[in-house]
Amino acid sequence: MENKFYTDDDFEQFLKDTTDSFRMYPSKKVWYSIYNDLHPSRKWPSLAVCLLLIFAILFVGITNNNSINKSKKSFNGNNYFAAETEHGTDESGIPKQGKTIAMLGSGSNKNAQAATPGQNRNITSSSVSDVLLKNDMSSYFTEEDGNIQVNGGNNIVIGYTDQGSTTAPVKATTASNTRAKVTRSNATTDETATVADNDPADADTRIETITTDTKEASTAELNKTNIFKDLLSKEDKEWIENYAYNNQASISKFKQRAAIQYYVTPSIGFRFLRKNNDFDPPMNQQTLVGSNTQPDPILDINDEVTQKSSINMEAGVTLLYNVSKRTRLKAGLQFNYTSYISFADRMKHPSQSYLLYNSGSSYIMVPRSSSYANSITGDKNERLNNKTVQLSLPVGADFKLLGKDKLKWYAGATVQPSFTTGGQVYAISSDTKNYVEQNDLLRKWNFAAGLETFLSYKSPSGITINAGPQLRYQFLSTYKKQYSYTEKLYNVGIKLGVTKSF
Amino acid sequence: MTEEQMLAGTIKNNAAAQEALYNRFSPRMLGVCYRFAKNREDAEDMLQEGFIKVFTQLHQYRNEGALEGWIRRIVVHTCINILKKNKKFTDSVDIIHASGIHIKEDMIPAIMQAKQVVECIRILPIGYRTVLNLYAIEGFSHREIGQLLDIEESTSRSQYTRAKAMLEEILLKKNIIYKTGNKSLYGKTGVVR
Repeated sequence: MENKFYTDDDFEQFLKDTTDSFRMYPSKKVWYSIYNDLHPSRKWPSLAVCLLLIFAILFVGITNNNSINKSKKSFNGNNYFAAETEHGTDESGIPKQGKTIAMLGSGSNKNAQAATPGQNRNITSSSVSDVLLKNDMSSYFTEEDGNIQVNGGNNIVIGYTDQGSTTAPVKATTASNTRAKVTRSNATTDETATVADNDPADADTRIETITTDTKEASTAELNKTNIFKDLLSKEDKEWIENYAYNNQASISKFKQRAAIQYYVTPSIGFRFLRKNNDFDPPMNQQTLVGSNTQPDPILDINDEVTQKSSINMEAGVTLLYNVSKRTRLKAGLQFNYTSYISFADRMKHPSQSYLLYNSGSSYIMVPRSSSYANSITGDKNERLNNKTVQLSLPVGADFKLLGKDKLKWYAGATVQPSFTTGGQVYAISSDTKNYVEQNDLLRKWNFAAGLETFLSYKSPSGITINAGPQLRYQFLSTYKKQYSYTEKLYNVGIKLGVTKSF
Repeated sequence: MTEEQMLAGTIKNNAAAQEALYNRFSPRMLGVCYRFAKNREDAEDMLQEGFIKVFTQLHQYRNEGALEGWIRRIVVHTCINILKKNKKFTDSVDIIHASGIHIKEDMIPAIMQAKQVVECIRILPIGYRTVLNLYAIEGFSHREIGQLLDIEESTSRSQYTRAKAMLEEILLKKNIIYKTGNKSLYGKTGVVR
């Protein structure tokens, strides 16, 4: 073109010739978009796999939750309960309602002052009355000739079951004003209810259990409120309400204070780029030479490159432990993805460039092949994605600033030793004219810190949701110390987390 | 892969053939789109849509003329359709009322090589730029331009004249062309007589 001259008449030819040699290289996403448009069916397998993964996670979560709930509902036999049941009928045959109180338990139960059973597991009248007296139920019975006489309208059944032998509640039906006799059943399928026995000589009292399969068992309602109000002390009520009916197993102190948190932090990341002040001997402006023939002093490297921030991501899991009301410690595992963009022009043919290294006693100009020209003033047709993938172990603490119950405000900090598993480095050449892809410049071990503040909301289901800004800063350079520049990454984002107690 | 193999594979919806064809022609086609577009992102959008049309209509190509020329016409039409759809002509200065444009020195970017001329073209208002691209570079007649852009043929002629004058002014300021007497000399270097 340099030697071609066109007159006014050839203006169009001039434009055609000059624009015909003009090329621009599109970004990869253009082809990906075209490909996805032409081959939409190939998106479905990845969608299907994602859906399958989501369903699998949900299935495991729901299954675990159900099994926990089931275990909480089961009885272990160490319970008090009371039921309002039918017992007997009046003269017209209508079932009478009354209160039936049964106490079941083993010797290890709190307040389970069950009568000491004999060898045949029978509970005698004297032992029954002993239990009744101890539990202040004396108003409900009278004792006559060693026999228990139940006061009108109420039935008291006292019995003993093997601990953990059944998950079924006990039901007793008797006619009022009589002593109850209950027959023990060993099987789990018997449905026989108790039978009133008017024989005062019969001192044996046994409990018959009824399986949950029976309709009666399933319809027996626990009317704890009315009965407890009349019979039990405040302490007993609290014990029963907390443990007997919910049948919650006692949880360890650790689990009461601990929780697990899953989080993700999308962020915007960038870098601080400086000359390496750890060079020995120290670098000065003249050290940053151009080609090996012509030195070219460089004032500030940031004026010599064109770059922009990019999307970063962190995701991880953390174990939280409350050491006090306001403070909790945390430690976990985190995956980090850092990225920023350098602008370049793709060269038609690779050219030789030099990277400036320090060997500890002198400088070395290391030759490397480069396909990208630094696009400080060019059209920036190539975006070089400088990225790292790291695994880190964040350790730190959260401090509660305000709030109580459901909504709280925290501030937190962590230190994060990190291991770089991979990445991509486009290093600027010593004369700043080219970029060299040099992934082995990545430093393997690094150290970062995070600062955050967040709001925490506890939902009715027990899951806590956290959200708030976070700043992460990398203290050591991304590059190895031999390289002439240092790069320290930072990112600012929003941390979103879900916390669940054990 | 030869052009025939690419054609045959692309018609069969073979992904490798499609990618080969795309890689061969996309750099030049993106350059074409860049002359019509407001920025690189818009140019890439035009390129994407253009190539989708190329791939879906490739079975209509009848080997009459070069494949590149056929692809180029599709891409140019796509660019025009996108500009018309997005009403880009009314964004800044429209095709009828472009006048009084002053070229400032700092509008001319500091760029290198052959891209200088393209960037100078892109400085023009979109109406001028489109007519100039279509007539001077893509080889459309004023009648065809009128049909494409829904304007009169005479309007296309007058707009092209103004576009050419404005572009000459830009190229002169950029020292890409030189003026001698009443004529302009076009070239990277030249001796002013």
